[in-house]
Amino acid sequence: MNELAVTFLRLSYLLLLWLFVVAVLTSLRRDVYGLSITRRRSRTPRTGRGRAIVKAPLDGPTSAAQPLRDAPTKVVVASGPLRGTTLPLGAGIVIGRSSGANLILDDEFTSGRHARIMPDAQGWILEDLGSTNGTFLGRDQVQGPVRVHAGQQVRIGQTRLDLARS
Amino acid sequence: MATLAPSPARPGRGRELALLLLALAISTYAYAQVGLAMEGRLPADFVRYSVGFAGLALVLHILLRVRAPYADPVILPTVVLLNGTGLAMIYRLQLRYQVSLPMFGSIASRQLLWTGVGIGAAALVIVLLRDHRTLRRFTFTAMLIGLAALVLPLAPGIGKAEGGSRIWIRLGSFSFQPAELSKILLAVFFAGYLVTRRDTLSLAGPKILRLQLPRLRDLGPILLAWLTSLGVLIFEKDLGTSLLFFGLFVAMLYVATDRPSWIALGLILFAVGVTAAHTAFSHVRSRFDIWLHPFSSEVYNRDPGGSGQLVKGLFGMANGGLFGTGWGRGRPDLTELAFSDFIVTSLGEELGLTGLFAILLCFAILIQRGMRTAVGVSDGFGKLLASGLAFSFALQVFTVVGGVTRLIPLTGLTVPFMAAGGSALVANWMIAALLLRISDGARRPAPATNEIDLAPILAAEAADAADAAKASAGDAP
Repeated sequence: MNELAVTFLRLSYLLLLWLFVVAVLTSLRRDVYGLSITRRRSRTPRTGRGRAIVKAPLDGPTSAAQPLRDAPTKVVVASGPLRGTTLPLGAGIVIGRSSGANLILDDEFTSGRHARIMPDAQGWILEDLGSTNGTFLGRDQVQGPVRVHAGQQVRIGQTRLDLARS
Repeated sequence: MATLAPSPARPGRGRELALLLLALAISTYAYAQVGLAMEGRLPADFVRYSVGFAGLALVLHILLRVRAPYADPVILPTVVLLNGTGLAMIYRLQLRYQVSLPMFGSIASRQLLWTGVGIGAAALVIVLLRDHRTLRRFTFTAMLIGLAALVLPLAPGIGKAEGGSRIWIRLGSFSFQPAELSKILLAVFFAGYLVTRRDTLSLAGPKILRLQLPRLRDLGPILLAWLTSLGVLIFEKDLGTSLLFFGLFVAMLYVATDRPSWIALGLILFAVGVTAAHTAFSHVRSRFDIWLHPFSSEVYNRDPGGSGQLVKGLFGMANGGLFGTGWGRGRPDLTELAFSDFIVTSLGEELGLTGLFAILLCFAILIQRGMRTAVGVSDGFGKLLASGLAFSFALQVFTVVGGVTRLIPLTGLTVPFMAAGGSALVANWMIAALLLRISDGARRPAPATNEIDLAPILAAEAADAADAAKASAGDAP
């Protein structure tokens, strides 16, 4: 074998060996950095894969999917222990006593996950989550999902919430 | 706005296959180069070797797809590459020994046979052990068998001494190093024992020099481990096993308790043991002489116990230089035990510093995957077992490479997966299988509890609708 072939065999083997090391490290790249970063494009609520998407019954026909003019954007606590607190609706909120809720009401008449306010194409839907003492919109107890408008009042336990536009 | 989420675990079997094929190609390429360089043609059994080795590795890969689909995809290819490189080097040395030492003639085919047995043992571990937590039930059985295996070479009749150490047992024509197997069993025992006792062992005791020591009454286990490893050193004259045993215990104790004081205590006990052994035993003293003064002619020419082997290994690596002499073109066979204890210098000579670093990186990757598995797995027993097994690899590679490069004295441990030796190869394949099994448990996504998977329901509804449509279509005419 001539010198050139010997050198080729020698160096090509080393090159392959390092190729293996680099290939392994490349395949571990995800593991090293650990986190995947997803950019959120819009403020539509994220729905988990395989999870049911609840379509709330609407006041008007579904085809007119224009955002309502009097859709609220925030919740103001009007009475009760948290009086004065303002919470933007954001991507939807859960109200209750549990630490997982967005608005935590430390109140004996409130259930762990009491009620939630979720967005749809036109505005916001209030829904009771099977609470013990009920959720009231104005004077009426909420049965199933209902559309809410700015200026309405929601009562949960000892707390009164005002829906408002900023 | 952006959301951060841990990457969802992917099985990664495809990646494993790609890396495995690359590892097999590299191993076969090395084997072919040895034949080309030394005999001017491909080795006689080239096809049989490459097909056999690739077949065994692929069988294990398919088994993983079925039995442990979420196992770490990097462990198997790395181990196959290390094993294949070791096989090529042993075959290469055997070709030279055939000329000078006919009695070593069969060492390469024997290593290939043991590779098959090792892969078979790994397959058995993966098939029989469905969940690594099962092993926890055998904590004390593992201790008994592990300790029995450790002292078995001392039993008259079956034990035999070789090269100054009494670490072999012989049954008929079959000889085995039981300490290799007891390494696994004792790791299981340490993991099972420490996971129940770690709360006690991490209680704070007296404080000396800003170091929070454990309570004095909790020193029992570490002293017992220390005395056992001293016993191995005294009666079996095996420095390597003694060091590995004690190092493994201290490392797992540290992982279990998160107290650096255990490492400090371990190092102090280790220093005491080494000093005592140095004054008491001539074979330990000669290892130190070889380490400190290998080039003095008095130490070099001493027989037995001269530094000739170490010096020849160093010369070999110097001959290899940065890029090595190439497969089959150096003279690593001049070093005694070039196929087992000194296989690192053989590789250093023929692959050079560049190749040796790639191989050391492969070991680093393997050890890192073991530690990563320990981080990822959710039960304490699995964490301790995976980190202990990975640490045993790390300690072996460190002591061997440190020994042949004169960083530390030679100890007589061998490089996992590469050095000739059947018992070690089988035991190491079993450790690899255990790591694969634990990593499967670590990476497997938790079953969803809150979410309802709508896909099957929707599919069933669609099928119902299609059936109804068909039925009405059938009724219409």
